[in-house]
Amino acid sequence: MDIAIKRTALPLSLGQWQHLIIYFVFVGLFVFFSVFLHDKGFLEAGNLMNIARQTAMISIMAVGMTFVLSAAEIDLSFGAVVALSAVTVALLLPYGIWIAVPAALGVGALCGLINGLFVAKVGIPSFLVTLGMTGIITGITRWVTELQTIPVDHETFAFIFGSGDIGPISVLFIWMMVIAAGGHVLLRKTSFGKEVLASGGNKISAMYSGINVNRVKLYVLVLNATLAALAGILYAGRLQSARYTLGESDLMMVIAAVIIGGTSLFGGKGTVVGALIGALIMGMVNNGLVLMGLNVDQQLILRGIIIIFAVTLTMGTLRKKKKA
Amino acid sequence: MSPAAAIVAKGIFKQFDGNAVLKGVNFELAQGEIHALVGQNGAGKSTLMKVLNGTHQPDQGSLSIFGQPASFSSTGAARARGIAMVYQELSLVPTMSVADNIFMNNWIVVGGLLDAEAMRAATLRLLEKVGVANEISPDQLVESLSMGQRQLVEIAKALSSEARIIILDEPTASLSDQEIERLFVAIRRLQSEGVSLIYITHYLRDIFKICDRVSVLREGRCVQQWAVSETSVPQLVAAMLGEAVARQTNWQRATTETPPAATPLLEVENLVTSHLDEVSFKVYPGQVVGLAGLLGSGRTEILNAIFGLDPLQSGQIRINGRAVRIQSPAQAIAHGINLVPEDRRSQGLILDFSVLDNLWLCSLRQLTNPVFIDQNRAAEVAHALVKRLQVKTAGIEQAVRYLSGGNQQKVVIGKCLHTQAKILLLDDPTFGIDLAAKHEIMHIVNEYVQQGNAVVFVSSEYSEIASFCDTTYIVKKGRIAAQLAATTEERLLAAVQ
Repeated sequence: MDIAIKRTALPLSLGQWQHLIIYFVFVGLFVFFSVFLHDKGFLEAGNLMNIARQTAMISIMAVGMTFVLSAAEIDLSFGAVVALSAVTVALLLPYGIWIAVPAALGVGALCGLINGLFVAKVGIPSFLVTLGMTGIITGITRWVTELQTIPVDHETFAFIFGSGDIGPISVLFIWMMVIAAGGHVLLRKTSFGKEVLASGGNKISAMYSGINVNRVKLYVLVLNATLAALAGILYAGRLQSARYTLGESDLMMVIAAVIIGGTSLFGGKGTVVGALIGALIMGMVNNGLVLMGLNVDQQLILRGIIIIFAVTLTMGTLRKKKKA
Repeated sequence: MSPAAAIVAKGIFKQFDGNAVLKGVNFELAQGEIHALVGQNGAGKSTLMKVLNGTHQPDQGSLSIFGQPASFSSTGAARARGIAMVYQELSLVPTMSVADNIFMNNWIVVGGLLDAEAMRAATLRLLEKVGVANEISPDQLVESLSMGQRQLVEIAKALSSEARIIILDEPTASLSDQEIERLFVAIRRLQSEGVSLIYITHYLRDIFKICDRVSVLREGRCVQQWAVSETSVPQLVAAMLGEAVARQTNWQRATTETPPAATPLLEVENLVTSHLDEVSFKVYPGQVVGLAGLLGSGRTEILNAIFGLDPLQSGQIRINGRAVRIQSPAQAIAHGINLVPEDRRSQGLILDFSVLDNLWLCSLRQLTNPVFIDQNRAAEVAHALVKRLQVKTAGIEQAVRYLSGGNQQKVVIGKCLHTQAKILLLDDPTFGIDLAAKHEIMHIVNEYVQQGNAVVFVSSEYSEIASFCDTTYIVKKGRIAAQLAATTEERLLAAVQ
């Protein structure tokens, strides 16, 4: 008989409930908006696809950030990478899609590599390196564009990277699901994923176990910046233009999505599926608040409250467990 | 009659999630005595102490302090009645000064601002009480102190809250012999000032040097109480083990004769690192080589050098006669060497990972089936290891955080065995785990050696080295000071000083 990993049917422990809370919050919010915003068309297929469209970029960045936080690192520079990559792709599109897209991804990967080398080889905390890189990257983007919006005039590009629909389904939704599925498999099913979690869970034990912790850190920072570059390309395709301000406001949304999803800020615990649900919650809330007719100021305040509330729910039980 | 006892605990019951840990403990601490508390891991020592210091509330039973009935709702309440506890893992903040640490919980404040001068002066008085005012300054940062000095600062901190009863939890576990002597001097000073102390320890010999009485806890009950002068180590061990007396600390491993012509499996020659000076020794297949030395002698550093953690300045490591270069643990593992590190919790395990994930941590790449981890094979291997090592766990999905110390250590060893290592470096593998688990672990190691592998064994228990190792090197100040073939605990103790 082969031995398979079977989870015993024990009643759920506190810790397991905590992992599930996020799904209850998701369903609860969905039901809430469905009931109260029914007449505003929340449940209409078009609106739901709109939520997916608005959430796609956040989700893709959240996948990368899940890896970074799981390895007990942080990346503050990904928002700047989004803008630089969008601008790069927009500027290079006249030379062809096959040059522009790889170049934009390459620029992102290069930013991640610089972050990673300073963290892994020089030993500077990622918080400081990526904080500094944010300034450098944003500065370059502003300089190159002279603060102008770069138009994107390339139908095929726009269709594949953001504006297109296949049947009723937006390509953005497809990008989101593909990246999330890939990220989930990478984190859960490959040795790289285990090494990321081990490095974040206990750096010393991981090193003693023969894991090259510095290389793991380098890889997660490159991965995150590359995914941020992809998000930048998708922004350029969806808006059919690129501007240095893109990605500026995504920092809070992305980190909140990852944390709400159940990834630990302190490393060692990470879930891509949770991050996806976290991002969808953020997108749903945004959409709901707009449908309610709130103005931007009110949206900001309510969004902040909801983030803190959701994080309290998912992290509150964790603290109790640690105390015991 | 003498004055009321410092502590009288009667019929203390305490259970956690239906698990009775204390089953009616009676315990008495006389005023001004040093009272040892011994027992195997899981006997209930720490739970009893946590009841006395207010961390836990007993389910049943009564407490009285200096003749007055007491029930503590918190450690603060216990401290107000003069009970302080010095924990095994010290609670000092390394980056702050001695004075700041001592007054961490009761700052001296004048008009809303800290009165640094008053705290300095008070700290100096406390350090004087402990007898170290001439060597520790109140302004010194705690990180600049040795472990022994920190222990004494911790005691001074306990005194700052006017403690009349101090509980010491394994105070000598990480101290050198000289530091232990100094600690004993400080303890006697406190006793002469009328402080009563409870002294918890695994080192039974210490009891006879410093304590007046000793109580033995076993399975949640206080089974024996003696005046120290009326008992002996074997008697204490018998009381601690109960029925399991037969299991003495003699492993009776058949020692291996070194075949004269064989190639050593591991040979280190003139290793020099920042901690080591010209260290050389050989380990033959089927052999256990012991490294005996005091804490800080360089015994751990020898293992670290072989495992690629400390860079070699010169010297050579040969495996099966072939010179190898090892610059990282990853390379060491690739060469068939693995290390069971000194501190299993911070160096050996990832506590929030499952047993399964910890077991394959060293061999992730071996289990990777071009791209994906072969989950079925991994689980199969893990089940086999858990069975072979007799790890007591609810399942391989259980997080190792919730295993007992002995079972955690078995997971670390399993993780190393799983890499097909031919050479195992063991750094104090039985530290702080109970006797039964110790036996099982030594049994596993013995089995491993008999398959023609080699083991380098560091232990803080000389009886283990004496009865387990084929040959023993004495390590002093980063050098090999002597080599002993068959030896005894007493000879080792004398040799390492």
